[in-house]
Amino acid sequence: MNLFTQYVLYFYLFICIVLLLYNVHYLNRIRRRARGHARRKRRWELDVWAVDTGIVAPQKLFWYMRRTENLLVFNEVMSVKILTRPQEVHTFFLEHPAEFRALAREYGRKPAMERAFFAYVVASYHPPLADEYDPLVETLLGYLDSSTVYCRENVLSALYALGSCQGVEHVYSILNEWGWFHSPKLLSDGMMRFAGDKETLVRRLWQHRREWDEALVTAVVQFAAMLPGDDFAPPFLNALEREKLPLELRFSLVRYFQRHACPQAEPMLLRLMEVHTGEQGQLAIAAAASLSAYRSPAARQALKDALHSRNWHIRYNAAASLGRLGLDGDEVEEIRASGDRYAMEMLDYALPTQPVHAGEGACV
Amino acid sequence: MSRAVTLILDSAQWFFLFYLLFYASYLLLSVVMGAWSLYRQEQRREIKNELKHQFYFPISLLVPAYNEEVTILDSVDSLLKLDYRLYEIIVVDDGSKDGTSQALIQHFHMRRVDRPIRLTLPCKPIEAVYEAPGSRVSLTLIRKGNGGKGDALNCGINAAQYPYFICMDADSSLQPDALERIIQPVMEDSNVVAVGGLVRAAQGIRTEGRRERLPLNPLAAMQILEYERSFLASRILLDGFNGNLIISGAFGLFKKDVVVAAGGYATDTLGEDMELVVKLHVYCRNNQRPYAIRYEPNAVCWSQAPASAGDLMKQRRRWHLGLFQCLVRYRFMFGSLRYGFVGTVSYLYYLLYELLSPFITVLGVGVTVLAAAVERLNYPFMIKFYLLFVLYGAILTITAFFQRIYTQNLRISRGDAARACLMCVFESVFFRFLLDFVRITAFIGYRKRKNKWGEIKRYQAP
Repeated sequence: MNLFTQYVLYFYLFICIVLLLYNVHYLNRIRRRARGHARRKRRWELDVWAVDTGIVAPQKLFWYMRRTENLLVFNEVMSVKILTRPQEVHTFFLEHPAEFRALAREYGRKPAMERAFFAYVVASYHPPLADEYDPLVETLLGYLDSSTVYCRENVLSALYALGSCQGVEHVYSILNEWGWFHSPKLLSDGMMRFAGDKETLVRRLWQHRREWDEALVTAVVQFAAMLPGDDFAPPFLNALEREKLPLELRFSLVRYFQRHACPQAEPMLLRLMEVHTGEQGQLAIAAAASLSAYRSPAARQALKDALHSRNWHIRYNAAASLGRLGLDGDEVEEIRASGDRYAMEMLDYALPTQPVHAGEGACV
Repeated sequence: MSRAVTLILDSAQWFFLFYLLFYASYLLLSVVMGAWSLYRQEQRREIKNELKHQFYFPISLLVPAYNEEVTILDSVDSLLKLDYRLYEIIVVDDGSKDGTSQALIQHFHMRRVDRPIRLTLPCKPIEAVYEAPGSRVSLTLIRKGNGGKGDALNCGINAAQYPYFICMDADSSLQPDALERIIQPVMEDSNVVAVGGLVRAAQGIRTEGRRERLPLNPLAAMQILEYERSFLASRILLDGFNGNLIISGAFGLFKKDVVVAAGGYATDTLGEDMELVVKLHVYCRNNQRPYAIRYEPNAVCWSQAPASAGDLMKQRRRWHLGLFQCLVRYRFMFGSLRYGFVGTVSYLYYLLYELLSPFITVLGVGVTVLAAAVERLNYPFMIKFYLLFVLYGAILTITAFFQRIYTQNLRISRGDAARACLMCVFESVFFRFLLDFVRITAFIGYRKRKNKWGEIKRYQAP
């Protein structure tokens, strides 16, 4: 027992010493790295300038960039340059496409973290492609094998920057095929950075609505809703009325018609307002919000009726929509006369003139 | 010497050897894993492996307040300045006896409104709702009857508009990028139902640019080091196995619909934060719902650490009783395969090394005294063993503390670094035993005071 205990004690004493040495080593390493980084940055600033002026061969620069630490410094130098001289940064990439593609292939052989970083560099500094079929896109798509969420996000960002519809479509197909989760919020917001024709992108992606997971198609609809113009109202309305689509996607489509009001969609929204329970009730919640963009008497009446719904969310959205549309005194009295306390509570809050409680708080 | 005493001493010897061996190994593993995880995270951030967008999910910030007149304005002011596109702040005044509500109403020119609130979770009656007009961030104050922190949070959940909410203390403030950071695990994985942030002691600590300063108050300094060790080491390790049982009530993000489905916060416990997390584990596993409870050390919340021994004792008494209540309530998890890692390793760890550890310490002292009485105590070995224990604990704490400094590219003066090392030793020698004493005495008068929080003195930020 005593011998065993002694061994245990000495073992943990050894661990203490190792930990102390680790702390000292780590501290020194951090300092050395910081000094090395500063030195590399100074050299790179000179080298990039030298390539610009033809003093240094670009091959040499791209050769350096095969090391991630050097690409990191290159990124830092470019992040300043892109703010002051963006055209020169773009020219730098356009003038050396072969070297850059070779570098992309080189990074394709590295772990996902490094691949993600290279994709970030492409996304940040590479100008949009003139041609849809560029080998760089193919290489970037290869980065998705055994990738992380960061790698996928950065590859998507790079393809948005390059303006490659086909590339983005391909990534979505891969996400769908492998069942990889990528937040619809990231997808829809990311597409706003797409450098090519955004309408074309939506059209191409929308074609896959029956094959792809609902989260991916929902992201496409949410992106379309952020675009100006009502070009997608007819196909979206058609799909909503005639196709059997998942609930989340239908929800997004109904919300699309809030931002992009079109008279043809109104009857469909009114129909959705008729059922307040089950799955249909979920859509009625969105329809109650969307009807705030429709000023017809039928829409107003549907919203006033919805104030008496048993579903709290439908009542809330209907009241908010009526608040936005505005109600005259007679209409308010009509609702008050119905004796529905819950409807009036909602409406009181939603209408722009809130009753003020005397002596309570400091009213502005 | 009777055979019985010999048997007791021999058994105790083996028990303590294995007890400490497991504890030391666990600490080592957690610090090493924590250090590795932080290193990888920093590396990822350095080479832009991030989900960086202008807009993420909207978030509701719930701030329960009870007699927080002194700190509430500073807290809300700092919350209004966060770097995040869409969020709302809901302060729930839980029947304060001081001027908490009045201070907010006057400062932010709030006005009373008849806001309809859907009562999805039970809570004490709402007395009044106020809103601040015209601000970029929606600010709401709800005044309600006193029902405790859990009840106030349930009320806040009822009023929250957004799908995710953050619970925090009224005396805490968030780092400007805290919301952006804490939402990251949700962006990465749709199954994430809760995320805990890193809570750091704010009192006395100053971070000037990238320079870290330790407070002069030794009690506050030791708490800082203790926070570092437990947050950066233990929680990261358990996070790797989806086995965290605690998300601090000072800063945690939750998915609203799951919390509502699980029944919200308990109102009859002192540890409502731990209770909710364990409840989420139970709810998701019982319903075979894929889930993850994550920990995000880059999302930082600054919380006031108690500055006096009295306040510290009150706080720790509350924590320990909360832990006791929670472990007793969910005792059916223990050893059950249905609850996997949580029901086995996590539960056992909290039971043996958190709840029972002060009692085991007392038992150890008792055995030592008994061994001395029967002249079987090996004094040189005991001293050597104790010194090694202190050294080991101190070095692990030092490693946890400096690891964060290195990986987050912070700087610390040589004086502060030396003081941090010294405090780590003091923490191992004194602070730990002070806390053990508090935790043992926490049960005195438990029946009478089991739901009382005990008030801690608040200080206004300079």
